[in-house]
Amino acid sequence: MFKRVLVANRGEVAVRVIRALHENDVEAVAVYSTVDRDSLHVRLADRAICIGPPQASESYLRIPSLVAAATTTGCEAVHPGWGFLAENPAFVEACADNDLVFVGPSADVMARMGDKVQAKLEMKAADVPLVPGTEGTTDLDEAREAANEVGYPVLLKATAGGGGKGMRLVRAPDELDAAYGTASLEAEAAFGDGSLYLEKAISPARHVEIQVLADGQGGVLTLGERECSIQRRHQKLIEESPSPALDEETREAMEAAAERACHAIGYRNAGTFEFLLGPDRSFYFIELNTRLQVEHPVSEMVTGLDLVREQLHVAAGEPLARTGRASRRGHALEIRINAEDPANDFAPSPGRVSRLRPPLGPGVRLDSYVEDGSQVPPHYDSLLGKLIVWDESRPEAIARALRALGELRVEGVPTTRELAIDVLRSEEFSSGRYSTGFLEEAGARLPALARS
Amino acid sequence: MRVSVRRTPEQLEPQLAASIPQPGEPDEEPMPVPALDGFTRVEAPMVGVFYRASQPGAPPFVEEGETVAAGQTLCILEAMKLMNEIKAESPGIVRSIHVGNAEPVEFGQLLFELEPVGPQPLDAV
Repeated sequence: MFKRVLVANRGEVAVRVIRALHENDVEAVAVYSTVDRDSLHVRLADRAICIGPPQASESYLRIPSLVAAATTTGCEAVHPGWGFLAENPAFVEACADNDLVFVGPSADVMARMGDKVQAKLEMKAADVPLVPGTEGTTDLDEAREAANEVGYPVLLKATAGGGGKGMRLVRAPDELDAAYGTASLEAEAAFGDGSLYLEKAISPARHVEIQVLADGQGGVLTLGERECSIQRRHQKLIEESPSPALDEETREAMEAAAERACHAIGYRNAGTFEFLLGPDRSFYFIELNTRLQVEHPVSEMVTGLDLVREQLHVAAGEPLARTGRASRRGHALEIRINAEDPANDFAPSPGRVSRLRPPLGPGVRLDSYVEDGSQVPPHYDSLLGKLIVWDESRPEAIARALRALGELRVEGVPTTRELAIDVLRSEEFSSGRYSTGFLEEAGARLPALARS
Repeated sequence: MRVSVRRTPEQLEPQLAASIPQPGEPDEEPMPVPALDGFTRVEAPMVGVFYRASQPGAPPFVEEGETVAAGQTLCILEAMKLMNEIKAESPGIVRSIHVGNAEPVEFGQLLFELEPVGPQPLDAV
């Protein structure tokens, strides 16, 4: 194991990584921008280096400053956390060039999986299901044929595009001709290229992801799924494991696909395979996140494993102690607590947290960097922390989460706490029948959203 | 692959770098102002290793008591094998050097204190 590791991040994840380092008797070196001088991670670390002014581009994203902070303090390894440089292959290479172990996959795998086209090619080769559709640009006749083959509804998407431009949902064959024409015109206007491709529309879809650990020596451990369909503007709000939508057969098929892909692409360290899950339990690869994820504690609670500790062991060259499927027990829920203003369309609302009362008691974990008087700077994301609960069953876990959210007090900045309470109390959540469209569809039925 | 950053001389002016306003920042950093003794503080604009000379064995860029012109190199900060020259923003007399050769420094660390001198040409030096 390493003697000293640089934590190349801030806030909640920096605190999380420092905790794992200290439990393994490893010294932690923190970095901070001038606005984070008094932040918790700076005080928990054994040493802290100021790396720049508040703007992330001049501090947490400046590769030379982070590498210099690591080399001048005698660190052997760098943990990137999530966000900032965690999925930047240039940072991985800069670490290698300076004899620093990067806690994560190789730069090569990271770059390949960061390229969506390349990632899908490799997943297809590994027999991981992709959303069915045409392999590339398609004319109207080919589109009609492909739509009949994959089944309606289908999505027409601009080959050159993104952001919804040149995209059309087609529910039935008689809509296809008109939709193709307008989507192509829109794509031409937006991107100077009217070519389209076609995909099966997965609706209603759920976002279900598989957590993996790979040691790079042939050992792969899958830790089951996290259900992440409670989202607001593509931002996850509540995650749980196990997913109420999976049966044993589908779960095993998804874990086997992720395991296969890890072997095929030569993956190492912690990673998350994101899938879309259709109403018929078909699942399709979206992307592989080559890093620790915000919602990792959900998997830790049901498996009893410490993912950051495992990351460190793998980075130090040790093989995984167990491979295959990690054993699991009970049900875990995570609720993200963001500094956002419900009265202002959930805009980030930085400021000073005058008082924090953390929820305590059985089965409760709070991963946060916030204390009484903490500043939430406007320069970074609005995540204050995550409340994670575990209990024997899903209904008990929901009851425990509601009890803990009732204890939680955050004064000084508005938060998403009330919205989370509304979601947990909703019929859809308690029945487990919800999809990624839930918050949009529920709208004014949820008191916290009605007030916004 | 080596990652390098190219900085313009302007970006390397420590006083300038430290004085870029941060709009909306709740916790304004104090501007570098001359201390009570009237000296100007030169602070590290980046993390790196402090070098007083261009290479081992070469004479130091500056010594205490020496008068420097605006734009004159005071030291080098090395980060990832990239040598960044730190220059004086305005003319002055080097009154103190706060870091030893080859020691690591962090962002904002005090490197030099300069006693300002008039803006006249320093052709007497």
